[in-house]
Amino acid sequence: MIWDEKHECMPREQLRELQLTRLKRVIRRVHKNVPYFRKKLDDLGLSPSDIKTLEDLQKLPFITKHELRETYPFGLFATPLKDVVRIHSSSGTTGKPVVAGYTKADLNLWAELMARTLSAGDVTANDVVQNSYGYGLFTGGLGIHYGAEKVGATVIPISGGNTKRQLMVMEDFGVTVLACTPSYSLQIAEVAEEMNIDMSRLKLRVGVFGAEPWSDTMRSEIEERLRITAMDIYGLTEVIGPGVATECQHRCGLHIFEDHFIPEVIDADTGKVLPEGSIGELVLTCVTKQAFPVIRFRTRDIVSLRYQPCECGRTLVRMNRVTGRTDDMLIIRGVNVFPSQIEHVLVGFDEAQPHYQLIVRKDGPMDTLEVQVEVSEEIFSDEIKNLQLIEKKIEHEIQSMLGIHAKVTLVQPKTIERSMGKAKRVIDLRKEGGIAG
Amino acid sequence: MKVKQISVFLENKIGHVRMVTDELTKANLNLRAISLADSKDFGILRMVVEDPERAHAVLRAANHAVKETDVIAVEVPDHPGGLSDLLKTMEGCGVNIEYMYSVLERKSDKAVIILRVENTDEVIESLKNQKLRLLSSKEVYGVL
Repeated sequence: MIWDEKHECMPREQLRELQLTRLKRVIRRVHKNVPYFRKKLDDLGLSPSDIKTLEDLQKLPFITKHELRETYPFGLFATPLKDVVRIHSSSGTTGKPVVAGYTKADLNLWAELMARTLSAGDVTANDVVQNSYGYGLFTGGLGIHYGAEKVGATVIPISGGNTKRQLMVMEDFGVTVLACTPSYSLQIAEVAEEMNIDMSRLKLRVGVFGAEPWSDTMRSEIEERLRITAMDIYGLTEVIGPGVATECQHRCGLHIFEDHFIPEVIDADTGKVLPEGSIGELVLTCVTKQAFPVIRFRTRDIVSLRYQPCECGRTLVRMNRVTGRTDDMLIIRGVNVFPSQIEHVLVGFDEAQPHYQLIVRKDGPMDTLEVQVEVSEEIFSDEIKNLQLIEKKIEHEIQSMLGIHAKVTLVQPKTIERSMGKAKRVIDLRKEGGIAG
Repeated sequence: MKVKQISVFLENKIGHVRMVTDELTKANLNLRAISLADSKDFGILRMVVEDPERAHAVLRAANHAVKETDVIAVEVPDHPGGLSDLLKTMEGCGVNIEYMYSVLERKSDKAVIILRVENTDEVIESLKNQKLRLLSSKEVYGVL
């Protein structure tokens, strides 16, 4: 089902005209209201009037995650804080989180885009949506929530966790749509199997999954075990949250809502825009958001774009599933994890520069994180309880900082591989493929 | 009366205990007592060796996490109830035992127990007046 046929199926020429009008407008507005952006343009000798065609977008400078942190928290807001009615943020990766502000109009837009997303999965007013994404600063929960209300569905704002209760609610409330991370859906499947719940008896028919990379293999497994159709959605805090792109029933890539976000694919090393079909880093420009419109934001997600129309009728560009990232960020159970965060925790336990390694595995449906830490003379004790206490403390610190559980394992000194230059901190043993959403 | 014990961190992997004993062999250091404490993820090898300082240096050079701890070595009559009597005495003195293990080799008719206690010096002091024989480090590192 197509929620907004006018925009989602707009002839490309018309769409490009709309994009250009909106692009010019947003550049003028951001230039006027965001000193940081104005200075960036000044340094390049550019002014908003230099943007005459869509291709002129390429003249503008990129904005990186690093810069978002530099301007923490509100430095890139293009509206006064009094017009901002909601704040969301990322998990706070390398030190400071990315903060996103939304005006009333932004929230309406977001709900509208999520309505498009859910409609692409045939979610309608007749559906009962179990929203098991986390509610809070994370964009997943409230993003889905307002979109589902917009289409008129019945929303159950259950958030994540307590899987048995999730299943009880699913069964008793006649849930038809499950929204959560793909790995959590498999956790639900596992518990259902343990409880001998026959999923084919339930009304559940669609899963709306995003916020972490997942593969087609995982999709098949989810569909088989939960007896549903699993759809892939994409979004990121810096841009709006979920609602940037979605799959349609043809599953031939994710349609990016181009009338609001202009995508480019660049060579991550040179920054040059690549031709259609090339694999590179996705760059997104918000053209309609008011409070926090990022211009040429480098997402670090590796994708490719195809512009030919889809059988579903949407003319919106399709991007393939995200196959990797250009930085060292890990996504574990939907949470962004940077090795430097773990380092930050470890430094607190040992004066010396700690040697550590992150090992990410798939344990059944769930991603698991093991942190191997070399035992230094400083922390070594001849009493087991003291060492176990250190493990527990580190686990606790990681849990409170990242919100995910990590298994801490102490290893003998000098056993973690040293490499020249940049340390190899991460061993990712999960299968390749999937998408970050 | 304090005896130096050497502790070494061990990963729970095949061959890791031998990695330690091999280093001692290479350095021609004899073991007097040894005990392996295990947990789910790691182990701690506790040893009394004839030259703790050199053992420490050798093991550290081989990239092991090593620690020296003060322990006491108590002689116990080698007959049923011998250990119980010792423990009763310790109890009477209000001594809390962290861990203990016995010596591999002995050349007398007495057994030797290695004890790790809190406040080693105080414990040695309070045990002095009891009918117990604490071994000197020399005795322990040497022939026993």
